[in-house]
Amino acid sequence: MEKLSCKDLSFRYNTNSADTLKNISFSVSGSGVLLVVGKTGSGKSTLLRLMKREISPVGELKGSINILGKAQSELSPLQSACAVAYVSQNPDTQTVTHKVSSELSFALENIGTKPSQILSRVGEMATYFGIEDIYSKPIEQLSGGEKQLCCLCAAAVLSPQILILDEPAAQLDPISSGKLFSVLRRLNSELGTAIIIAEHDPSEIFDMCDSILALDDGKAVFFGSRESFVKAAVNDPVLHGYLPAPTRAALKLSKTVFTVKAAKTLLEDTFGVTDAQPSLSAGKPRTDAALKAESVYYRYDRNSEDIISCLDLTVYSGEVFAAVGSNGSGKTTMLKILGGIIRPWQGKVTVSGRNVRSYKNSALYSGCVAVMPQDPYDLFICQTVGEELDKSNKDNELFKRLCSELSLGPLLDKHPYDLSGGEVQKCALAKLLLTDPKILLLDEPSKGLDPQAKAVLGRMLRKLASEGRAVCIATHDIEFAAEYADRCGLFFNGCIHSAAPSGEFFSYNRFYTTAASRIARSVFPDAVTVSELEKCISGGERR
Amino acid sequence: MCYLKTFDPTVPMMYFACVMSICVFTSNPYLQACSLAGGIMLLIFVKGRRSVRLLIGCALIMAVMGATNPLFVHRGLTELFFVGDSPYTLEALLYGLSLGCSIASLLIWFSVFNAVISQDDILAVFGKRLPKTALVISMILGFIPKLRRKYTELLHAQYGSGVSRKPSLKRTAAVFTACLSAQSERVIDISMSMKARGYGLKSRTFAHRRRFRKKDAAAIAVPLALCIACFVYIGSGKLDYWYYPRLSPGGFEPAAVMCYLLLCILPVFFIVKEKFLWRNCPAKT
Repeated sequence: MEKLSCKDLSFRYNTNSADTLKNISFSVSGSGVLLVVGKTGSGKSTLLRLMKREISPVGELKGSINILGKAQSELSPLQSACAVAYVSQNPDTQTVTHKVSSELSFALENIGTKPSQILSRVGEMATYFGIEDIYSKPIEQLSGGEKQLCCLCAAAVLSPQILILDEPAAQLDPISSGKLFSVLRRLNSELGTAIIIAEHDPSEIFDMCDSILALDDGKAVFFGSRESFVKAAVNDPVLHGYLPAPTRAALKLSKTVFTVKAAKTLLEDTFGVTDAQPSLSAGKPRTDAALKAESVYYRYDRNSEDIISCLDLTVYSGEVFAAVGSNGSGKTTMLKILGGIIRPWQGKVTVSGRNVRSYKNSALYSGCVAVMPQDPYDLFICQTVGEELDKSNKDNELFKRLCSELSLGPLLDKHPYDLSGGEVQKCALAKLLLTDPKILLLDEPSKGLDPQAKAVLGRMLRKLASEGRAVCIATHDIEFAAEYADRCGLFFNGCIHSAAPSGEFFSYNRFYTTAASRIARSVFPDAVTVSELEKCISGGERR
Repeated sequence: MCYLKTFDPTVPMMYFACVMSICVFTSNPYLQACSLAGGIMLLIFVKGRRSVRLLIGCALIMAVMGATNPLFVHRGLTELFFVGDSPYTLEALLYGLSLGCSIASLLIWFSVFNAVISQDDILAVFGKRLPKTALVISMILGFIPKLRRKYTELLHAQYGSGVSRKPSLKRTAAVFTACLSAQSERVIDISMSMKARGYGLKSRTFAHRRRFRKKDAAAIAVPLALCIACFVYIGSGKLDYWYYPRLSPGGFEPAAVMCYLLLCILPVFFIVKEKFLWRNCPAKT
C-alpha cells in the first residue's frame, strides 16, 4: 500500500511570482525510505513541509498529496498530527521545554493522553532507543547529537507511520550522525516506519534508502530506485556528486555497490592486495610559524576540569591546517584561545612572533588575526550586510575587490538572516578579510553547507593560503579536511595529537578517516579522497 | 534530604507555605524566635557548611536593624540614652530587632525552600492543575540558558572581529538586541516544531511522575493542622503583641507557641528518620 504519494505537485509562495516546486510526482510505499537530494534552495524543505499539514508553508498549492490512502485535507487533525512526524535540521531550535523527559512527553500531552499512559509510553520508548542516560538531563547539557536524538524520539513518540526529516545530520559530527542513523534504521526495519529524508551528504543513508528523488530548481530531475539512480548518475555530473564514495569507486569498474565492505572486496578482487605502507612525505622543517601555542591549559573555572590540556600547536604561513575531532571535544575553545578571545590559565600563545597578551586593545584583530565563529550569523549585528561590512571597511579598494571576487553585490542590501548558509559564510569571510588578517581561524566552516557550497568554500580557503595567510580550521567534516587541508591533526582529550600532512594523516588513521581511505587501504594505500581513488582505479593494474 | 524528596512535591510546598505565612505576618517575638530557630536548624541540616555565609548575613541584618531603628523612631518610654536631643529607647531597639528577625527568618526559610524544592517540583505542582502555565514555565527555563549562551557567543564573535573589550552600554545594547533578534528568528522554528507535534489540538495534560499517596496526605495533614491552630490563636487575639509605648506584658500563649515551634522543626523529624533508615539499611555496606 502506498503510504504517501504526490501527484503533479506545484507550489508557489504568496510572496513569490515564480513556482518554488514544479510538477513533482513521487510515492513512498509500505516501509520505504525515500531520499531527497538537491542543493540549497532547490525546494527540498518546502516539499517536506508540504507533506506535514500542520506546518505546510502558506501559498498556492496545485496537485494532490495522499497520505495513508486519503487526501491530505481529509485527515482529521488528530490523525494528521499522529500519522506524520517531522524533524528539522537544527536541534537547538526544535526543543520546546527544558528537560528531555518533558520534551519526550510534550507531544503526548498535546493530544490529551492520560498522565499514566504518557509515562509508560515515554519510558518504553526511552528504553527501546537506549536514551535512559539522558532522560532526566536538562536539554541545555546535551551535545548536539544527543539533542537531535531527543528531537527524533520526541517526534517518534506518537508512533507515526511516516517520518519526515529535513537534513537531520547537517549539524552533527560523523559519530553522532551514525548514532542518529542507526536509530532511524531501527525505526524503519523493526517498526516499519516509512521515512522521507533530505540530506546534503547522503553517504550514510544511501545503503538503507529504497528510492531517490533529486530536485533541481523546484523540478524533479530524477525519481526512481537507488539502482536506477546510480545508472542515471553515470552521465549526469550533478547526480554523480551525491553518490557515496563506495559507489563512485565501484562505478569506475562498472559495478554497483553501496557499502565500504562491498567496495573493499571488489577492489581487492580486481587489483589484488598490496602490503605497501602509505608513503611518508619528507617533511621539511619549517620556520615561518604564524601561530604557535605552547603547553596551553584552559578550564572554565578553578574547580572544573581542563578542557584544553597541554596543547602544543604550530600553524605556518601559507597552509590550511585542520583540527578534526568530534563535536564538544573542545575544538571551539581551542580556536578561541588561539584567537586571543579567551585566555588560558597557563601556557603561551604566540601570534606572528609576539605573545598574544602583548597586543593592546584591538591591535590583534587589525591585520593580524580574524576568527570566524561556529555560527557565522553571530558576526552580523547590524540590519543589513552592507552596514556590517562598512563598519570594518578601512580600505575601499579592498572592499571593491572582495565584493567582486565573492560576488557580494546582490547580498549587500539583505538582512543577514535572509541569507542561506553558504551566502552568510561568504559574507562573514568578507567581513573578516576586510581587516586583511595574516591568520584566519574558522570554526566548522563547512557545517550545514551543500556539496557545491563546500567546494566553493574549500577553493576560497586554498586561495587564501596561497596568498601567504595561515588558515586554521576546526572541523568534524573529515572529507572536507582531506580534500582541502595541507596538514591535519586529531583533537582529542584536550590537545592535538599527531599533526601530519593530510594525505599521511588519513592514510595512517585506521578508524577516523575518509570512506575512500577505508576502501582503498589494502589496495591503494595512498588514496585518501574519492577523486584520488578514482584516479588510482583508472590507472591501476588489474590482476 | 533524600527522604524529603520521596514525598509528592505538594507536601514540602504546602509546608513552606504554612511556615512562611505565619512568619511574614506575625510581630510576636515568641513566634519569631521559633521560626528563626527552626529555620537555622533546618538550614544547617540541609546545607551544612555552606549555610555559614547566609547566617552571618542574617546576624548582620538583625544587628543593623536593631541598632538603627531607635535612631529614627523615638517612641517608647524606656530611655536608654540620648543621641543629640533624641531619646534612644529600649522599645524601639527591640522593635528593630524583631523586624530584622522577620527578614532574616524569611531569607533563611527561602534558602531552605530553594535547597529542598527544585524547578521540576514546582512544575509538577502547577502542571497537574495548570498544564499550560507549567508549559510556559518549562519553556522559559529552557529559553534562559539558550539566551545566555547566545549572548556569550555573540560577544566572543564581536571580540574576534576587533570590537573593544571595554564594557560599554552601547556595546551591551547592540549585542543584546542582536541576541534577541537571533532568538526571535528561532521562534519560528520552535513554533513549527510545536505545531508538528500536535500543539493546540486538544486541551493539554501533564505527565507527572508521582501519584499523591496516603503517605503524602498524612505528611500534609500535620503541618496544616498546626498551622490552622496557630491561626486560630492569632485570630483570638491571645498572641497580640505591641512594643509601644511599653512592651506588652502578654502575648505568650504556651500552646500556640508550642504548635508553631513544632511546625517549624517538623522536617527535622524526617531528617532524623532518614538517618535511622540509613543506619539500619543493608545497602550501606
